[in-house]
Amino acid sequence: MEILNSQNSEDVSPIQSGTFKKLRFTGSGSDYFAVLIINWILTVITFGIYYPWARARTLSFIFGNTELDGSRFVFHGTGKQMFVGFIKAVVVFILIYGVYFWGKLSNSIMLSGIGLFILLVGLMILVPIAVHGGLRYRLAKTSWRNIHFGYRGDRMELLKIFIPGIIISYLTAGIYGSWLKSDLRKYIIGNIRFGNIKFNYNGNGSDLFWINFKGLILGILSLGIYLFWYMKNWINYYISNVDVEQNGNRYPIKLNVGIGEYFVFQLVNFLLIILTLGLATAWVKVRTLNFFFDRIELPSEINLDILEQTETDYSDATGDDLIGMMDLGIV
Amino acid sequence: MNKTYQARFYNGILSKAFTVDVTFGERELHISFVDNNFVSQQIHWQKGQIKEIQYSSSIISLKYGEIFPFQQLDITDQEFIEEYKNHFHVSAYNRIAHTRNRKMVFSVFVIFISLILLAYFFVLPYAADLFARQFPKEMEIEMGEKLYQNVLADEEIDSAKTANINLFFKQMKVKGDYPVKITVVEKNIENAFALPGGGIVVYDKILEGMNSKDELAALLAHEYSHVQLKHATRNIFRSLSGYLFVSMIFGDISGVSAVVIQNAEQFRSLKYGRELEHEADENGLHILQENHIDVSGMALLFKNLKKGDKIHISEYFSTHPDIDSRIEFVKTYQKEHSYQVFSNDSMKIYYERLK
Repeated sequence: MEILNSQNSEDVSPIQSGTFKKLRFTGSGSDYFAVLIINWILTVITFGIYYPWARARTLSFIFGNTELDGSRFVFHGTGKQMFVGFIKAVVVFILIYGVYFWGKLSNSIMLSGIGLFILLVGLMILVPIAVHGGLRYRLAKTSWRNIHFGYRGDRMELLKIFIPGIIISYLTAGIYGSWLKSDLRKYIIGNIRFGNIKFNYNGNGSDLFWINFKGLILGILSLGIYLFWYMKNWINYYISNVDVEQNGNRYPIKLNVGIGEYFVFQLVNFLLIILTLGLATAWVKVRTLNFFFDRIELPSEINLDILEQTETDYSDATGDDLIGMMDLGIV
Repeated sequence: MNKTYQARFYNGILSKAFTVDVTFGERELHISFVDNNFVSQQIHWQKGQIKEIQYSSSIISLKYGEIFPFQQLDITDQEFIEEYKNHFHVSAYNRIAHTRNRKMVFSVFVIFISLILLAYFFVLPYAADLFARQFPKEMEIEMGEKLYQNVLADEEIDSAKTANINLFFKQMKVKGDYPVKITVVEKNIENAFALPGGGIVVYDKILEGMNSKDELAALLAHEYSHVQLKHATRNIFRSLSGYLFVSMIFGDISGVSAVVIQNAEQFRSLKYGRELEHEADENGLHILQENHIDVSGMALLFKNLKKGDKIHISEYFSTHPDIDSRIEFVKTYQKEHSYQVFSNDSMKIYYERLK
């Protein structure tokens, strides 16, 4: 391998420099539909056992068709890893719910109270644990030009942000939620690595709170029409506050979705789903990826030829499966 | 000499791409390139250690090595992708899912959907019915008893009428192996229904509208038929199996389709309900005939119900068959089956007491 060091290699990328700041999705709706249909058939005829493999193959398709600077991302996770993770996740759920039902069936108020307490506390702790594990797995198994992503967050640190945050959010009727989300994003994104590239999140709780507050008030006053503006503002804010750090220099990622185009985009998605009774889901997903990839501007200052492999491998998919089971969206 | 293909190579240390030449060997892939010092370099990947990380009609990505990080090769050359199939095993999944030719996927899809429809419309109802019929009578009675208590918990029971209607039913001398228990409930509803295991609930409004004992006999014969033919149990098995099947097949699809499928399932269960009603009508007529009671009571009963029905609902949306066709059915039955009607004074007496 030493003979192939960068010092004596030639750059042969056929893609011209200057265009590398855009992401591109190369798959078509019908490609994705084919993948989903086959996965669906295999999942049905195996009574659901195929599901982890279907998940891995879907991710592999999506990542494998995402192109940056002429090279595609690769998802290395396997159905087997996800299956093992799935079994572990099921055991965790059976334990937590088992205690709860055992308490319920005992006919004792105290025992069922303890069962409920363990269920609620268990789920509250499980969310950050799942997110941590899921991020580690998902990112470690994602690569581009053979350079792997990674998540360097600490599980305890995430718990320390999440647990008090969720309690305060509950006590403040959700108001603190904006600050909690902001803190979580800052911590999570700040710990994502792409080789020796680092990411940072610069948003703050009060900005997010005003976006949410405005969304709620104007959403009600406009009978929901404002929700398009709200969603647009929210996405723009989230993405535009991320920056990419290379060799100590920070370069912002830009996203500026306009209200008109966003409205048309959502309306067409909605009509596609309704008119095809959901069969167009694959096409809607591809449209969505294209819509955002076309508009996200990655900083052109980043040198994509000098990324170094810095992250380690991680193959435990339990967190990823827990996220799937609890229906949590990552990041 | 094997053909040479251009590819991009990543060493797993840096993101820098190297252009390399790749040739297929007997047990390996040969990768060669000329370094900056114009020295030719060679790498050999043993087949057993090569892993496909991406396979599609436009790109194949391979990784090599036992220890992370691995080496990676991206090949977009169409000829290589074609040739690759001759040297490496391509899984059936990749052959079907990742080709430009969609015919295969489409045919698999159509065949699978047909099999599902076949199972749903023919196998599933048959299987559900088979299981329902095997369901032990004792459990049915026990289940019915619990339901009965639940249903009647908040109802006003007319105990005098209840006693008389049970005596009336005894006089009908219906042969059967379920313990029949009829209850008259005071309520302004022109209806009656049967529970699994022998419980029958009759609302007193329907009794008020009757003009002869034969109508009551027809009503009870119809309701008892539901019990004897295990209709409630069969209906439960049918809708449970339908629900399980649908959620198993479509567990993972979007909201819109879920709503459409649920409604289709509803329509299907309504249709099944109508089939069961028809079966109960037919069996009820048999019961009446066997016990020498005039079947025209059933036609009269339907005519009364029709009068009370102020809104006409299309049969497709209804739990019961169209009332005119039910009347027609009774008339046809009457024409085809002739038998002697016996008068029964005790039945008359109990019927009078109910009025």
